[in-house]
Amino acid sequence: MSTDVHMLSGAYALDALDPAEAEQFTQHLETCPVCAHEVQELRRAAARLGAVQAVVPPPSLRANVLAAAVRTRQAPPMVTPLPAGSWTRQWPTAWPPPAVAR
Amino acid sequence: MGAGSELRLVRARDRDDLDALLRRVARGESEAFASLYDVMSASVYGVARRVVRDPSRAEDVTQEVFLDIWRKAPAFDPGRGSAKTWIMTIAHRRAVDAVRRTESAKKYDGAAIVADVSHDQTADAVIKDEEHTAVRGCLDALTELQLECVRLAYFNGYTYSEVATLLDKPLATIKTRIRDGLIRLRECLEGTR
Repeated sequence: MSTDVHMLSGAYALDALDPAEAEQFTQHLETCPVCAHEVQELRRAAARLGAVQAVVPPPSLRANVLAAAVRTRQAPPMVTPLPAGSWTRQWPTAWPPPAVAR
Repeated sequence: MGAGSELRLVRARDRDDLDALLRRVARGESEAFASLYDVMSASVYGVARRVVRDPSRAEDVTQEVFLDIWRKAPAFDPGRGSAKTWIMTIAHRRAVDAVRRTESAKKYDGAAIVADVSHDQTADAVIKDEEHTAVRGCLDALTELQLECVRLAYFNGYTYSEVATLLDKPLATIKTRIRDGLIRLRECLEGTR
């Protein structure tokens, strides 16, 4: 991809890319930490822009949302896989640890 | 105080509270989820109203957003941003998706896009407090074109190509103005924390 792709961070942060471009840019973020960091920062600004538009929703919505959550299963947490061999390396060389000499 | 007293805005100092609340939601605590709803529902519904306009569709979007939050809370990674940013990102994404589903249904009715731009309604209840003043002040720091680009993309849910068409400017210009406008907004807002 050309260097021009970096310029899409703003439009990406505002959900203003068409689906194909958004998909491409999402892939680009995997390999471009600078863009990923920039998107994070720009989203933080966008979030503050959005949050001040607050309008209290109709009270009935609260019960509907809470009831729907009760019926919905939560996703499992993301588990970072341990690098191969890390299990053995993380143990102290002597186990149990030697008693402190008195 | 009127309806405004019901509004609770999440400020920077509340970040830890909201992050902690989301961690409890991740463990399936429905009470924490109810509290999270009480803190964030006005912001989520507000942005949905701005983007989709129709109150009952905005309610649907809000419900989708909170179910997303409930479902995905265990996968939330605080290293990639605050709970508030995460929630508002989901809210905007869902609102834009709802609008684009409708737009693709009437793809060839280009006039509908243009007709909607001129009257930018003010939200029914806009929070009038220091956060609102800060955001308003920082929007004033943008150039007219930057502001227009950010407004049309964020609040009207347009793609940058649509913004370029509406404003009759080259794609590259709009892409750049959205980015540098947002960067300027961010720099200004970070200074107000």
